[in-house]
Amino acid sequence: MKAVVSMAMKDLRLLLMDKGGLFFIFFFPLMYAIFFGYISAAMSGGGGGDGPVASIRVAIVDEDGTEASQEFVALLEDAEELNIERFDSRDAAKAVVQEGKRAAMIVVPAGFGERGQSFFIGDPPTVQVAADPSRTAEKGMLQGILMKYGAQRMQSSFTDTKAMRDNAAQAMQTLNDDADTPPMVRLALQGFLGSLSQLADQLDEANVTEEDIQNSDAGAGFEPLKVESIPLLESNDGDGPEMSPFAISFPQGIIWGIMGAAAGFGISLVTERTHGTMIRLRLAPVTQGQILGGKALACFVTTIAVAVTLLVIGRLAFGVTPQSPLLLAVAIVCVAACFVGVMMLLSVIGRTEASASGIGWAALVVMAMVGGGMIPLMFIEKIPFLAMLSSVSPVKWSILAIEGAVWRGFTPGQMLLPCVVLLGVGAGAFALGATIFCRTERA
Amino acid sequence: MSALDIRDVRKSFGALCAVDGLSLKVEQGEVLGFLGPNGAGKTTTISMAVGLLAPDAGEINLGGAGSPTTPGVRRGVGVAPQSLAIYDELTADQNLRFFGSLYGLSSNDRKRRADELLEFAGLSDRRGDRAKTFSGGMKRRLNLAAALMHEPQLILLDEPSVGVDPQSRNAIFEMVEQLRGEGRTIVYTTHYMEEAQRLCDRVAVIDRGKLLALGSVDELIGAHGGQSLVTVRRAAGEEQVQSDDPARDLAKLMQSGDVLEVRVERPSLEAVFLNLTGRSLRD
Repeated sequence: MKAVVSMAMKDLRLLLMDKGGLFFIFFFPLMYAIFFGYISAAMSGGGGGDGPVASIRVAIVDEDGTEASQEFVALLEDAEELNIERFDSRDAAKAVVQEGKRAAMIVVPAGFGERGQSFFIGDPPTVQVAADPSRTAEKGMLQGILMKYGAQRMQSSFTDTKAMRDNAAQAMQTLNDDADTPPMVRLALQGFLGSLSQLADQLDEANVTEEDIQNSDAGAGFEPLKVESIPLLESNDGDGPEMSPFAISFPQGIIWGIMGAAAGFGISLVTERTHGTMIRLRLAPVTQGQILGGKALACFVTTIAVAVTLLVIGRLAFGVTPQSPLLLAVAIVCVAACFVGVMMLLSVIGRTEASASGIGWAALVVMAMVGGGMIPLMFIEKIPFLAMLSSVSPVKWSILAIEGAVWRGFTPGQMLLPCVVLLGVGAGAFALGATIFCRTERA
Repeated sequence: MSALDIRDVRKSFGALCAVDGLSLKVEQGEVLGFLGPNGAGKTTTISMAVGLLAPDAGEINLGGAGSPTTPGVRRGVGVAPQSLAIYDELTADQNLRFFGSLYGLSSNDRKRRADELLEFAGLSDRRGDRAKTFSGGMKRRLNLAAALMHEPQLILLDEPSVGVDPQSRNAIFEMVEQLRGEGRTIVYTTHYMEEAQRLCDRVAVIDRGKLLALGSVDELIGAHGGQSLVTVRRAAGEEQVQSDDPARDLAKLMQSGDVLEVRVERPSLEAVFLNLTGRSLRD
């Protein structure tokens, strides 16, 4: 173990003397996190009008269970802009959003159907939306889509004169039961609702077609649907502080730093070979396992240092507060272990420093691209083969694990999958890299 | 007990036979020169002797401790590889201390040995400078010092003077002579016959992976160098005689008087190699 620690210390000393390497491992990721944090902040402030995105993946929960709510959910299921998956409970729907599998959760709360029967009186029918904070563009689009279908649903009420008559009667009943309505307003509404019933009668008599009604402005002038934003996380309920937009960019910055460390140490093993120092290491009374162990330990320590540095800066300067420090520690360790394995594999691919650097960065950039480190996952997931590739990218699972602890509010159970994947990928890559290394260096 | 015992060792790389049935014993405390042109199989033999390469056939034993492919057996060996094996970004002191740590030296021992070896290599005043700022000769000396951190009894120096200036080469010779004075066993590979003649107790002449001859410089010259050339210059001109016994033939030539100058040229290891292989060491 002493030899392993000595070799790790030597590598860390070499890293500290490499100013270019330090820049890409520590400062570039910090710049990345700050830059994209500001962009995220700007977008969440109302500037996030992205271009059209087809088929937003959302979870929906019908807590009302009335005929009206079921019709509304069916309407949304038929909507081409949405890819809807039904869930039985709010918690189950919330979990898939937390895990990044859906962009948002729509809840049709109890009372939706009842409210929908009372035009102009009482609160409008309400749906609740809890969106993934990292997908603000999709959240904005979703609100617009819900309003569109809410209006469509309301307009359809006017194509059915019986429903119109029933709704007017229901509204009249509600109005009569509500003692707080000012007399003048009550009088006006009673007159209007009476007129609405008359309108239904006249439409029946005139045999007006559905198209004629749909082309009219009958639905204008009132709120067809109220879309209410609800927080995804318990800690943001009530008057709690808003989540820092940097909480989204800092995990990605950490991943870039860790990738930089993996690339750097991957090259360093090739450098040992090309500069002749590998010969001296192999001449020493240490095993190949100890040589690899030293390299792995140095890489592991560096990745942890990168993560801790960025998290401390994120906490002190940008208000990034992890939901669960313990789970964050677990996530960081798993991510570090994964990229140590990736480093080991990268180190045996190239024969020269130039080829190792080129191949290493190319591989890492592809991992970042398909894993959501460069292009948002919502775009990647729309292309089936990219979605499949994304599932094997350690970057995706790393971001998910760190975000899960920083702001997604993962439970230990939810953290298990990304951590197991990361450890599995890391172990597999390390074993493959170590096998190739030993075969290459074998006497 | 021999410091290094190589028995009928063979090593091929594809169709190329680098070492072909080589047997050799290096005795304790001697300096054995490994003389041969580039590509003769010297480095391959050294690599097998220290466990970097496994022979295809044959056996290698280090000081009776066993095969050098076992990490623990290699502990008693120090190697200065032909290609420099130091970290350019570390200082001379950091390089030595790191290599000492690989052999389990304590912190105090690492400091003590680093101080001694920096003095030994003439680098004390540059101990805090990064190796990348050193000249080629200084790097060579640091490379040699790194091989000595753990005080090995058997030292293998693979072309330690390649590419260095005459001053540094001389410094390296003095370092080797000092190590010989301390009773260390040294295997010194070179293709410079002057180095072998100056430094080595015995010389092994190797070519195309085979051991062609083994003995002291005098023995090799006597056996394979051919005759000496005795030259006498007179007023009338020069007279040259090939001789097996230069003293006797010189005495005969001197009897005729009017001798202005005499020269006796003994055959060198170059001649030994030429006679054994039919080609020059630098071919």
